[in-house]
Amino acid sequence: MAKPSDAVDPIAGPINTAARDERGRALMGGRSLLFIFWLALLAIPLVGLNDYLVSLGTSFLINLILIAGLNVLIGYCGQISLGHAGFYGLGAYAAGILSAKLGLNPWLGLPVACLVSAIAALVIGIPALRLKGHYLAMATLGFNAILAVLFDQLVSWTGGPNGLLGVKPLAFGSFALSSQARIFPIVWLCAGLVMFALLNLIQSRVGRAIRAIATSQIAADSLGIDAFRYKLIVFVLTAGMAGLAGSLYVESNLYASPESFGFSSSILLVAMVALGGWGRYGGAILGALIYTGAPELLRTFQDAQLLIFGAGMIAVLLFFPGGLAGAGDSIACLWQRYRP
Amino acid sequence: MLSRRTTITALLGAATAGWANLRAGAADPIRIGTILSVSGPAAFLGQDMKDGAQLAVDEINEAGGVGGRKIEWIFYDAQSQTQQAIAETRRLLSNDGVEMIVGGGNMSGIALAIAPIAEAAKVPFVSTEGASAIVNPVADHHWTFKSTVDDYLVLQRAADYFDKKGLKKIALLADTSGFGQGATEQLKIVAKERNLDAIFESFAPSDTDLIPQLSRIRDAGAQVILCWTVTPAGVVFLKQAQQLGLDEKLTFIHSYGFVTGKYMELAGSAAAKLLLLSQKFVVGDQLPDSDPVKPKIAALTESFKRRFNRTPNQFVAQTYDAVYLAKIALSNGGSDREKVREAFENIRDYQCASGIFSFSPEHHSGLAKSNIVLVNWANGRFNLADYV
Amino acid sequence: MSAGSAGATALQLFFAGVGNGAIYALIALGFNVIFKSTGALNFAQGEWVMLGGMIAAAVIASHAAIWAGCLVAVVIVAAVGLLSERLIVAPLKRPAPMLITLLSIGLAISTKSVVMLVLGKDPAGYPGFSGDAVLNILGARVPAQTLWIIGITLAFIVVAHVFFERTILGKSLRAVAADRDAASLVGINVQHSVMWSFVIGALAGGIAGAIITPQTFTSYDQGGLIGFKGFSAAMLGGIGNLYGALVGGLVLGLLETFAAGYVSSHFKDAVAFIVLLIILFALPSGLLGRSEAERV
Repeated sequence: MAKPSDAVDPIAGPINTAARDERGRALMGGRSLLFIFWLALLAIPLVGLNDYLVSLGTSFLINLILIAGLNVLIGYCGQISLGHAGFYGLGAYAAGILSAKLGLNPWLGLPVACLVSAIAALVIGIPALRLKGHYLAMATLGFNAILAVLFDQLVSWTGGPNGLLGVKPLAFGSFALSSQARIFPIVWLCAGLVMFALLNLIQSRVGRAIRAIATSQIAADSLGIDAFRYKLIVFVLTAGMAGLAGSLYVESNLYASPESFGFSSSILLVAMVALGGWGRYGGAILGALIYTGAPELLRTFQDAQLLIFGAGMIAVLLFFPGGLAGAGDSIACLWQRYRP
Repeated sequence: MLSRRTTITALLGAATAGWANLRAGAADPIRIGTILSVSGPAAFLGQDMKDGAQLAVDEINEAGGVGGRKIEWIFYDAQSQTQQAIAETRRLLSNDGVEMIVGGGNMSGIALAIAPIAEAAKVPFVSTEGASAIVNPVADHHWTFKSTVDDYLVLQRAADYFDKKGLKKIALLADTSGFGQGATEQLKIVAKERNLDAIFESFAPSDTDLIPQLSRIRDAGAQVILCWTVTPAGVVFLKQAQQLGLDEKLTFIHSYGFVTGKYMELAGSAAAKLLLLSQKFVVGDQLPDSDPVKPKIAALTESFKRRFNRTPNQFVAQTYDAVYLAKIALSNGGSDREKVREAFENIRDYQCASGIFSFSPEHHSGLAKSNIVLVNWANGRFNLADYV
Repeated sequence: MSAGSAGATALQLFFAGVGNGAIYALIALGFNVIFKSTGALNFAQGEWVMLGGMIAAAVIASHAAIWAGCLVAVVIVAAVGLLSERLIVAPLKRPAPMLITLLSIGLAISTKSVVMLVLGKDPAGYPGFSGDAVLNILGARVPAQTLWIIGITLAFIVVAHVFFERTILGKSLRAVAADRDAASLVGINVQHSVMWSFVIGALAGGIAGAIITPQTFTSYDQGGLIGFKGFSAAMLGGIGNLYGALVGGLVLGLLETFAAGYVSSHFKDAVAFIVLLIILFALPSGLLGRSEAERV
């Protein structure tokens, strides 16, 4: 029978499950905290002095949807997906093609994108999730590779490497949401719904079940938890969220091109989840901040930016294996050890 | 809720505009933004293009600027990624307040993405990339101009050469980038107009094995292989075609995106019989003296060598000329963007290192077919092979 | 098209596929060695391949013989592998596989950018070991370099086999891979074993880079793609299985080339991966792996 102290965090090593549950309970109060934080975000288009800064805010929220979903999948559920950018792209192209090529109402793109990605995840997930650990990684990697080729080659639908042009912006009647400040509230709303949904998921029965599976599948089995079913639910759900993020991306940029949705983007998303902090709710927010902010901050370094980013990533992971959200714990540990 | 911010911005805007008029624009710099890829797969072109633009900006500023106003040049690296370029375009337009954007990431795909953003913001955009789709249809591209040759015209020029040599069956081996795809679309049109029998093969820009495509081309009995890429896959093409023994009977031609000594050296003996479509720049000293472009090429080569200590190639000329075109439009149009745009359309017979530029309201792509020649590689340099 | 030339074309494609496959196999081998000793997926493997090619090109460009250039490159890349282990594995108190995998991503990014800053952005290459020589084998024109690639890869695999089966160091690496704690109980220095596995992985990568560059040329950003292919080959053959690397690499190489030749060069990558996925779902532990899958 698995003891609580047998639980192993994929990054930080053996964990104290009691402490983790404590954190889980603390999240209960998290709902109101999230609500306040989310309201504060609405200030961005007011404080943002120009289109460019507001577009950063929009990107941040879209990236947050991606990274938060992936965080739940990897951090809470213990499943590695190397194809998250693929579901993102699928949603973006689905929504984009609907409005640019089929001339349908762009609002339709949002739910359709969700659905398309979710169904794709179902198709991949059913065979792949029956297998252990890195087989989902391979399946999602292969899936992402296939999608990348399709995005690039089905030129009459996707526009090929030149990208998809002619996407119609979302509109209320004749009021088109074609500027960054106008589309921000929609993105804000969708991202908020996603974050609340994830919080609820983690705290629900399903959430407890998936955390149990992540800590010890054998123990979870012995408790009668159908691991496969719960893993599939989370996989499909987070893929659908990625699809939603894709549709928001294409509606705020009015453009999509294959290079944003490839293998290297998927890897980078995984890295962001780790840098932010696995299995910690706030980690996704930090990860999204880094993902959105780092390229902008590093832009002035020209050729050296890549090196700074890579070296920085190594440094953060070496010193804070639990990610930046776990930095608090790491620092507390060091403080405990060295205080006078 | 936005009205307070808008009012303040409007007041500030009016104040600065009034102030600018008072100062007769003497001290305000003109902000020009440039987006090029100096890292990522398109990097080896990007660095030369950046230096060309830098040289032009410095020369103009040393000569007193544009109508007394110096150019403040803002540069961003697109890193060969469209998403980065879009973010940078927004930054240039809203944050940095540029009056013109010169340079579209040195990738046709990036230029195609920047164009609609510039259109919406009503800011002139001078693309230094190849695909004709960047400025066509003109009705949708009021604010976009192109300082390079159209792939359509390059292919027409190639067709002239085929007619001269009696070649009819042409195989296009193009990569799937925006550049290669543009050529594929245009060749379909040109082949019909010029009665050529064209077959089409393609490869991914990062491919390292073209044997399947070359086998098919050989089996189809093509007389010419026209390769359209800027990546090292073009060198793989030459070596593998030589490996299959195709160089004995077929003519190989590379596009103007491949005209660089670095690739010729890598190809070694496989480049011996290669022809390349090119702008006149690389063979400037071999042009007849009657060609008005010749002295311009010599001048640019001289000043570039002095400044950067290396010989320039035609990519340098592309951006150098683009900045000078921008200068003309800005000095004729002043600070009114619509007037600058019109000034661009009115540029006629402007001679510079890439050739002779003429724009018009119907034609936002300024170089004519006569600016293109065919060259070959021998004795460690490019040589004029076919001139009209 | 006559039957003879159809056969010649098929043979032509076959040799091209085997040549590519051999490279994928070599890279997959590097992946597998590191996976066996740490459980981690080394995303810097592709950059090590690129590094081998770039350094060889730089050395040869300064008038060295081709053999010398390749040798120097391989030695330097092996040293880089050693340093990488010292940097991202040795300091860890709890070397969790996931953490090492992520650190290898950071390492890959850093390696790529250092190469860009030091060796530049231009593509690089050098002539093959036998120059441009081409052999005519039953109507297929095979470059001599392809035969070198196949030969060197096979030689490496044979040496690796002997190393892991016959030498003490090799056997101790296998012991660590099987069970870390048991291995340290019998006195094997686990840290050293991990270090050696990194050196071997880098060696495989460096050699792969040095021998393929005459055919494919290289530049600072080519590491990602080739690493991806090698990783897929490793997965296909059964990750962690040394012979699986050979089989997986050859299958992937041949699939790609035949798909490009007979199905469509546009969709060749998609075809290869669709087949990969089908194989994976049918045989979850890869073509040669032991059944690690659990039916849930």
